[in-house]
Amino acid sequence: MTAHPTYPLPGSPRTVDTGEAAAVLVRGLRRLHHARPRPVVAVDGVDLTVRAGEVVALCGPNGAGKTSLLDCVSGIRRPDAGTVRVVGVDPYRAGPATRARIGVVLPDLGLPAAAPAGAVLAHHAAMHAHPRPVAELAARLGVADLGRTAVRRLSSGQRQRLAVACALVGRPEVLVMDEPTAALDPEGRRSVLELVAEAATDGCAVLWSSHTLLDVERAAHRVVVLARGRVLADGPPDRVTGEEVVRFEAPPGSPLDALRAALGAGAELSETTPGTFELRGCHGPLELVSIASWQAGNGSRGGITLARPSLEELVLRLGDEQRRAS
Amino acid sequence: MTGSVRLGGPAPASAVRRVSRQALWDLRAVLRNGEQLLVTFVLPVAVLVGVVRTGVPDLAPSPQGPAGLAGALGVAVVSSAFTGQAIALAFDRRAGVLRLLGTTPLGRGGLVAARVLAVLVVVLLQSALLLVVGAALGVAVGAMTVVLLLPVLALGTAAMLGAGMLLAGTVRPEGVLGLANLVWVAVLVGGGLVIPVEGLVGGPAADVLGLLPTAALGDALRAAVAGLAPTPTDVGVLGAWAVGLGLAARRWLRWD
Repeated sequence: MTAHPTYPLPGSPRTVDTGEAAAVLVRGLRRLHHARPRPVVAVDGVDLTVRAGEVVALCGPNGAGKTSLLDCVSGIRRPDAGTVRVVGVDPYRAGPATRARIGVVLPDLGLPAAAPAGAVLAHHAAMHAHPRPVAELAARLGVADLGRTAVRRLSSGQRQRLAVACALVGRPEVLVMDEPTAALDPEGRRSVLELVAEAATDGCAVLWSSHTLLDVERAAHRVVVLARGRVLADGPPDRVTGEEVVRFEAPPGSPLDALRAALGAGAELSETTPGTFELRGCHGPLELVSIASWQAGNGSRGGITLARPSLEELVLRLGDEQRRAS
Repeated sequence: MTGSVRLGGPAPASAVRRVSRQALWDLRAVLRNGEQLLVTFVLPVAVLVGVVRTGVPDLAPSPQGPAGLAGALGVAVVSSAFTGQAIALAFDRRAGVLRLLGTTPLGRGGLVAARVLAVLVVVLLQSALLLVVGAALGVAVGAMTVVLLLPVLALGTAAMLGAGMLLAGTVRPEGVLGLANLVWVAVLVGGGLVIPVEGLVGGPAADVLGLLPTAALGDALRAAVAGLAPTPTDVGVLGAWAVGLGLAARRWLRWD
């Protein structure tokens, strides 16, 4: 593989954000997972900022530390080291006034199994002085007809939408959601993402973990990629995944000299796997014509694709790199 | 606190509203759950009817009726505040219910306050039921007994709920289910609730068993049913357990 886009790696110099306007501010966060036989470092020096109105997605392989990080932000767990501030307050010690400003979706949802769905949502609404109208929210998330159904009889997708409704019912300024779309069908995902986008438009800061990378690419302003408790990448989805590449086919081992001459300096050419070639750095129509004629000269029947490495490829690759490095 | 409050923006409901809503929620959970109803209402009534009607166990030299009523009241407190709540809390903890409500304006403090309130209401309902059933069985109590019962029941509830929360907050739900029921049976037989510890063992062993919270509760309830104030020793033992178990639960209770 040729050069990857550069990531601001932990410890590398960059502008220090004082986080004055930050809704979520995480600095040097360290959190141990108290496992046996010995504790494992779940979060290892994470810096993270989410501003009002910003949607930040947290991606990374299982065991990357996403849930531990989110639990520290939602005030469920206390950091072992470092600072977490949500709307300027330590979330672990936050009082009711601060908690009213934070909406949380847990990975295991935390809904009482025996209670009717409508009663659960109304109960969460009752904890707030100015809750959203429960009926409207339930209708938007497609759980309005389930008011009298016990939580244990809901499908996993319905349960997840109910949990999102509970998180949104207090009109939060900060939303912390651990895989809120994991069990959802495309329609359910769309309704959740729409509500999240609306909340962000109203100034809500959203921090959300997801393995549904298509959703992340669509809905997040910024992606933070986590592996082994460290931030490996932090930026807009298209910046994090890097530039577009041109992939094309030709008989394995075809000489690239002629094509290199035709494309000029800035082109980075390589044969990534036998018979598959990649061009990075430029992908205009002229380059495509050059590639096509080179392919014809080398007896290839074509096959040119313009691709951006997906977030999925990136997460997989970063996970592999982390495993090899350790 | 920082930040200004937007008009119509996020704000918590009042503490009274939050805690009362949660207490009602917890109360409904008890009253709607078949197993909870069994352990909370049916078993104590069964103890009362059994002791008074069959005369087993023989509680002499105490009068069988009043001593049976006091024992049943003690069983009721242990059933709801300890066994019932330990199991309910353990499964709420497993399901993440406590964790989620802890992130809402209710918070962990509100959760505990609401549980205490809900269990006190349940104990009042149980006691009222037992007094009515007792009266139907011919065990009448005076107004003084009712006045004396209230603080004794409250203190006993505090100690038992502290123990229940400590168990629920530290052990897996399956373990809580087993232990909470085991302890219920153990204290019913040898905890000094129905049968005074002096009737079980003699000498120094009775003094040691007498330090159990259930033994002190049993003694205090027998005194109250007889229209007498509980001894300072019993109140002291029960109070010490209530404070100690409450602090221990606060220290070791894990919310997830």
